[in-house]
Amino acid sequence: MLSFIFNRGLQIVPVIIGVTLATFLLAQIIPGDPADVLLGSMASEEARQQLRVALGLNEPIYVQYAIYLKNLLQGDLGQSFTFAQPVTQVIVERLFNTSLLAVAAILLASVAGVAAGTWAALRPGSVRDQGLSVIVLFFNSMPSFWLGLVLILIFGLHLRLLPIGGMQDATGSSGIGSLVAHMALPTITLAAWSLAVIARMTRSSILDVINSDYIRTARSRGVSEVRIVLCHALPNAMPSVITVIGMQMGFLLSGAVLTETVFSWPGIGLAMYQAISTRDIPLIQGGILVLAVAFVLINFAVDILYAYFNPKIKLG
Amino acid sequence: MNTPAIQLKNVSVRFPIRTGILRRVVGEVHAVDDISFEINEGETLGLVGESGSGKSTTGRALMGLAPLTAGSVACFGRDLKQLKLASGALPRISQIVFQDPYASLNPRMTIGETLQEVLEVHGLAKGRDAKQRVDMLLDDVGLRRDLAERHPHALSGGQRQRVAIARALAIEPKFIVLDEVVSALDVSIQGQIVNLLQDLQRDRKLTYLFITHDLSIVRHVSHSLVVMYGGQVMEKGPRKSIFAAPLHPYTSALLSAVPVPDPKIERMRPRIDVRSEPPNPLAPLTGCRFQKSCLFASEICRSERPQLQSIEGHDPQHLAACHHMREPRVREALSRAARGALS
Amino acid sequence: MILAQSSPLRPISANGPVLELKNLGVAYGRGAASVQVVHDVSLAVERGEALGIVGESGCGKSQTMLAALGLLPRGGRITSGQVLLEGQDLVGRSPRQMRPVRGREIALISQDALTSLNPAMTIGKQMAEPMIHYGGMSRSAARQRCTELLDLVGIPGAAARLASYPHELSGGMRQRALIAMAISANPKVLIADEPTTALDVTTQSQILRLIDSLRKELGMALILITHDLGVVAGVADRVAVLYAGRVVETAETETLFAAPRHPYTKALLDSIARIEDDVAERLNPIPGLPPDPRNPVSGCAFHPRCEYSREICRNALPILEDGTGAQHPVRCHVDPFVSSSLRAVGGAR
Repeated sequence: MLSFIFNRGLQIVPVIIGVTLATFLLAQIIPGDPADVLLGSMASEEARQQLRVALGLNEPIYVQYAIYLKNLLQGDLGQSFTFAQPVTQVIVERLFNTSLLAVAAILLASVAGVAAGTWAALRPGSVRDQGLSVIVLFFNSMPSFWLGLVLILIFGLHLRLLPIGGMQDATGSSGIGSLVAHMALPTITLAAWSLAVIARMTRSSILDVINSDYIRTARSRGVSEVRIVLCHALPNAMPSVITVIGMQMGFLLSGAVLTETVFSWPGIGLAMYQAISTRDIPLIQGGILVLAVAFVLINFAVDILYAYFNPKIKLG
Repeated sequence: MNTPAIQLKNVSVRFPIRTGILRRVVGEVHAVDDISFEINEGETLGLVGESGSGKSTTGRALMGLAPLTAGSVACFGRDLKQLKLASGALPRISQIVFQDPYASLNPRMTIGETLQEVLEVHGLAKGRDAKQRVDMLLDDVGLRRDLAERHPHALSGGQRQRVAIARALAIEPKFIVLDEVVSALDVSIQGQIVNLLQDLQRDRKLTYLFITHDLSIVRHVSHSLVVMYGGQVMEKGPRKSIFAAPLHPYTSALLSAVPVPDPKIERMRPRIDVRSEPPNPLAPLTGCRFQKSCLFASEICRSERPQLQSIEGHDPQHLAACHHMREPRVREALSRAARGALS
Repeated sequence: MILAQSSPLRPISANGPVLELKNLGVAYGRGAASVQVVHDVSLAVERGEALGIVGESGCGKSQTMLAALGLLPRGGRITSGQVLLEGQDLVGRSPRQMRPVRGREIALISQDALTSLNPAMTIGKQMAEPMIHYGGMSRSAARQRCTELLDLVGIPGAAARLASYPHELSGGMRQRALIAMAISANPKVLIADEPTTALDVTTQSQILRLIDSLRKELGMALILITHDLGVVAGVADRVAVLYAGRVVETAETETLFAAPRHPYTKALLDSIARIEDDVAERLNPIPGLPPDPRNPVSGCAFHPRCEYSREICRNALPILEDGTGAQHPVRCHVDPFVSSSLRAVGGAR
């Protein structure tokens, strides 16, 4: 198992290098001169030239990449001019908020999705099963920002049950209750799509394995239907479900940008949204880099989980 | 004497086992260990053994599908390595048919498309011409022509095996490796395939390597026999001589394991048992590979590998590798078991 | 014209069969798309007796037994008849009511041990599951019992094997583990569905003898399902031959092999590659294919493949009848192998 983790870990290195290259090149292909953006179009040619030298923009491209990598290793992602702070600082401050939202959403999506899918698989073709299909279709065909707005309308404005935006620190005066209240709507919005996908995948993988010979063996030995689904079918269905969950985590990160914007949740997504609208290239680069690396690491974790559920892989 | 159609000389196939972080080679699977045999043109050699005996690996090695670690193979006078280098040369000479044709037929292609593809890939026929050839192939293997429109899942196991044979025949090979081709079929259908193969052999002078774990089928199809265990040849020779009096305890055990469809005999007959301990190809034993499962094993079997030898009073081409095969008590036990099986 | 009506098989001993199927029918699908795979099958097995059920793939032999256990796959249903376990009808019982029967009264061994064992569970865990959850055993007692069982079926190093996953065992060992699981609750009836088909010849014969000796030791009734008459020869007391979902002949094993009455049974026997034959170059397979239950054959289902078929065979379904009174019922209009003296005893023909 350890050697499996190590070997799989080694594969990450080239991917991460590729990601840094991609984010670096991103800045190169975006039209417009960073000096223009920083200094405005009224600045003198001299001032621009000075800034270009200061930013290293006149160096050959590979030297620029080397400098970029060197700064990256030192934790320096450049200076965000929208926030007038180092990009690293902007991201670190918001990374926690985004992670909080993403983790809450993936937990909700996984637990509720697996539960709903299993529940439906216990009685395929029944009313509950068909009901689930309808809900899945509904969630999957609805854009998350629209769902967010609908939720705000119902729970925030009509029922006045939940706050419609912003975030309150758990350490603040109103404590953890307020944090949860502020998180509720954005978490549901972010989780909805993934929840539906996970539920559907869980249902179909359980129904796939439920026709296996070993399920028949368990039945022939008098094992109850609930145990069959929970203890025999579900563990064997888990590898494909975990793969889907892993893929959903990637989608969640990108979905966070929209959700955070709708709910003014102070995370990386909201910062990126602002950075994009002001062409704050260092912050866009930094944000993409962090999201991409997170994506890679999540997949790594998913692979390990996958091996855990499938004893045959451990041998390799 | 003619040169044999297929000739294996001291062939070994080993697969490296890699493990750990650096994928170091920590050992080898000794799949096939120093085996030699020959098949005459137009004849069938039955290659018998249980799973893990190396019989399937031998078949694959003959097809160039498993690399030879040592030794050489000659196909119709040409070296296998040269044939492999010349593109398309080997498939024109030899083809293979597997146990489960369902796994080797594309489920999305009709039978006709599958056969036509083979003809086109090898440049044997195109378009209308290929369609005609497909019809003829279906005739050859005893399938109705309208089955060309069907997909593999709509066919029975026996029909699919006929398709697999037709696909092998399409290239008009001289040699076909038949790897457990009837093992998955109902007993009542097995004979259809065996008879078909024998008709094709007679009409086209085909040479077969018939790989199986079932001695009763081998008896009907093969001119000569090779019995493998743990990657090595235990016994080989002409079919008649081996079935008349097997020399090796393992052959005897195989014989006495075949159920006899007669309740009176089946319940009474003496058996030579194999102790249930399949050979470990990762750590091959010194001495005789069969020692752990053999009722007659002694000190010498653990220390010295027995050589293939003939025995006086038997066909000189009938060889077996056993230290004890000349001892009267062993001969007595083996012949009793053989009589039980052959009644 | 259909003359469907089966004659009951009289039990050999007085205390009655432990498992009896009466006029069992199984179909898949509903309405016009319904396909009848088992028609009117009646069988009985005595306590401790071994019954062989023989037929080609698709003849309904496995479906009959799955129906008896209430384990038909989705879409399958029992259309008629009774499944009597010591006189109690199991047909129509809910899954909850069937559960105590499965494993404890009737146990099943399937063909392919690799797919029949849960790949994500250790052998010990799947063996012990019903003992702990339904047998009221403690974990340590279950562990002890599992070790004993693995020992009993001849798995070396039994205690250590409990922690193995199925893919870590050889084919023969897996089949032994599956057998150990099946007998773990001392069932009264053991159904073995092609238990040796996927195995090497040497392992086959060992597994068959193991099943047979366990039957005798534990006093179970055994139902051995196979396509190979050679397999039942050494084990079964009686044999029922199935064709196209119907019993076509039943007899004591020795009688069936010595004097088969149905042309299909005779053809099955002739198709076996006989190792004891002296160099018979050609085999005698049964020509053609078993019928597809979706396109049922009129009259006697075997008539297209039968060399004795006559006009009547195409039009009328023969009755399973014991015309000779020799406990040897056969479903054939022609009955070509019955000797004239037997015919005289039977009279009615």
